[in-house]
Amino acid sequence: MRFESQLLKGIAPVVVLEILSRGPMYGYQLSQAIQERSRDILTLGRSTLYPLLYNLEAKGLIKGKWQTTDSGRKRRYYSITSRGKLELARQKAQLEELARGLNYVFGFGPMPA
Amino acid sequence: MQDPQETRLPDCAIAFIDQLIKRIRYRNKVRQEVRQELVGHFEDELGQCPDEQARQEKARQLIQEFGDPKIVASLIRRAKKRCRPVWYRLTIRTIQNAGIFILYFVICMLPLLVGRSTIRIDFVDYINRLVRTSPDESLNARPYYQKAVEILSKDRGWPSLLPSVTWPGDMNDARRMAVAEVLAASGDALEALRQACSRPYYWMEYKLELNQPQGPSAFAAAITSYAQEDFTSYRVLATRMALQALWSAYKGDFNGAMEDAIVLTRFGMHLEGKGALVEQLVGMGIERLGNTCIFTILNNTQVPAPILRKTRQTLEQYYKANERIINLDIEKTLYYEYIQSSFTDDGKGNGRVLWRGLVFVPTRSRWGLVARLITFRLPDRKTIVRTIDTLFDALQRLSEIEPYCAEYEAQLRVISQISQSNIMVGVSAPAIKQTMRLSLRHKTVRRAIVAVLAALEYRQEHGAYPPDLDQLVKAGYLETVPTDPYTGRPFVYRRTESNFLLYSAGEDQKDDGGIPGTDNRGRPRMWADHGDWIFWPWIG
Repeated sequence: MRFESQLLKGIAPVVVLEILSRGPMYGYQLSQAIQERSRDILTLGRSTLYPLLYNLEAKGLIKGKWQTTDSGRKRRYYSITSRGKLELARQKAQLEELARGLNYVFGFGPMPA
Repeated sequence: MQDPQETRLPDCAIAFIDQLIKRIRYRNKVRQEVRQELVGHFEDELGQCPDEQARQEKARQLIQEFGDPKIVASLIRRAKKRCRPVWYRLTIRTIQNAGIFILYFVICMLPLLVGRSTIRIDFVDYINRLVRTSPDESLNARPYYQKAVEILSKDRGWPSLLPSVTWPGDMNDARRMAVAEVLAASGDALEALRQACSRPYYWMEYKLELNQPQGPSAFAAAITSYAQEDFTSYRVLATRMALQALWSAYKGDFNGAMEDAIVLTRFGMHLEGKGALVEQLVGMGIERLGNTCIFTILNNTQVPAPILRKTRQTLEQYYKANERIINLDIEKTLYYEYIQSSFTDDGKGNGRVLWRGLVFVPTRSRWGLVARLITFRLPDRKTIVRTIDTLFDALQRLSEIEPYCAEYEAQLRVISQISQSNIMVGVSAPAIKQTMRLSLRHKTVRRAIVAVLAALEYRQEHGAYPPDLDQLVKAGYLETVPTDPYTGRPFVYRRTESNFLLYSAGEDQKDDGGIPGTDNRGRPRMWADHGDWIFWPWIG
């Protein structure tokens, strides 16, 4: 499903932070993880992925680090910072509230655990 | 350098990445990092493809998903810029702001640099017309002075031989002999000087030599230096005449002595009241020398009454004809000349200030000038001309009134206000004010010398000094009681046991009971800024 870009734009940073809170990842790995975790509902466009990562890095919410893998390839791994964790918690709380509100309005049914 | 893993990517992917990286237009190091990351991403995506065809297909699909490389590059550039450290961003911002300010400043300066002044008036010609008193060149004393200087110049070594004018009776024999020799050798020069002083007028023709630097300040410098050419010789000539006057008196020729002293007064007056300020200052110096001679002679000898009367009457006549000691027409003209070459000319008497005219911008500090520059609050030509006119009107008025007048302080305030807020005026106004101060002293001496001559004459004819200055008027020696310019009241006159005391309250305008000011060794000093100025008994 394709979401309106403005809608996704607001959610994408928090999604990235959430995924990275589980461990450092490089760009491709991250986009795959989002897709998998969201069961193919959320897909971060390629054109959005890297600018988004660089923006989060600029804000100090994540940090990138070049690492050489066993196969000899250099990859830039992104990990969440402590500031990013705080931001994630804050955003998550807001999203939960938003979801509850939307649920009341639209009657989506009980929220999944 | 190309990453080895790039070589495994399809050409279309490499071309896309290249295009995107190129469009990022940012630091090379950052672009290389982004390239490496994108190449890795493509490689990961294509790594799942079973064959080359699928890889090609997937690459095209990915390129499509990335979309317009221009937009992506723009987003990446923006994000990367945000990644810069704070100090770096601050530095850049500061440099940018400084650049903007400099650019703005340059824009503000442009009007100063663009445009030209128009030389409509030949101020050298104007000045020459100002100072030329008569069309008849034969009435001009200057050629005679030059002749005297020429004769004098053949006699080298003189100035160092007798540096100061001293009463011959106070010299030792050797020095007196030297003076007699020098005076014998300078008879022709002194005779030429006497002839020069018999001319009614003095003027010189100013020239701006072609080899002199051009430009506004050069103009003023040239006029002044040109006028200054002969002044050293004039001073030497005057000193020799002063010594001649003293020598004649020492030898008992009182008539010749007083006549030569008056020659000095006349010599000084020729240079006063017109021309460049420096000329007028030299003139005042020469007249002062003449006054010193008269006082020294009176102090050391008994000049007969008829000679005293003749001297007094001649001096009174000269003083009346030359009341104006200071004339600032040339100084004002120099300002006008500077304005002419520092402002544009709209043909209606107005114009815009040019670079070199910034010295006219009213400001109390350098930052004030910058503030005026960046807010485009620069004065126009008419405003500056008005300011200069106001300044010179105040200076003119100041030369006409005396310090005891209430208006005197008001005029001084006007001059101070203008000179404090205008760099150009601030540079020259103190010198002009000082000259005015000297001219006022001059005025005081003139009045005092006449009174002293009259009192001495009275004593010879009546056997005693007059009881007061009114008596000199009643007895017909003076037309009016001489007033002290500093107090507006008559000079203080008191008979003493065998002499009399005549003094002015001086610049402090305070009557100290006839106690003179002193120098730093405690010796009585004429013209001290404290104490009274004693004219008789003469303290030198």
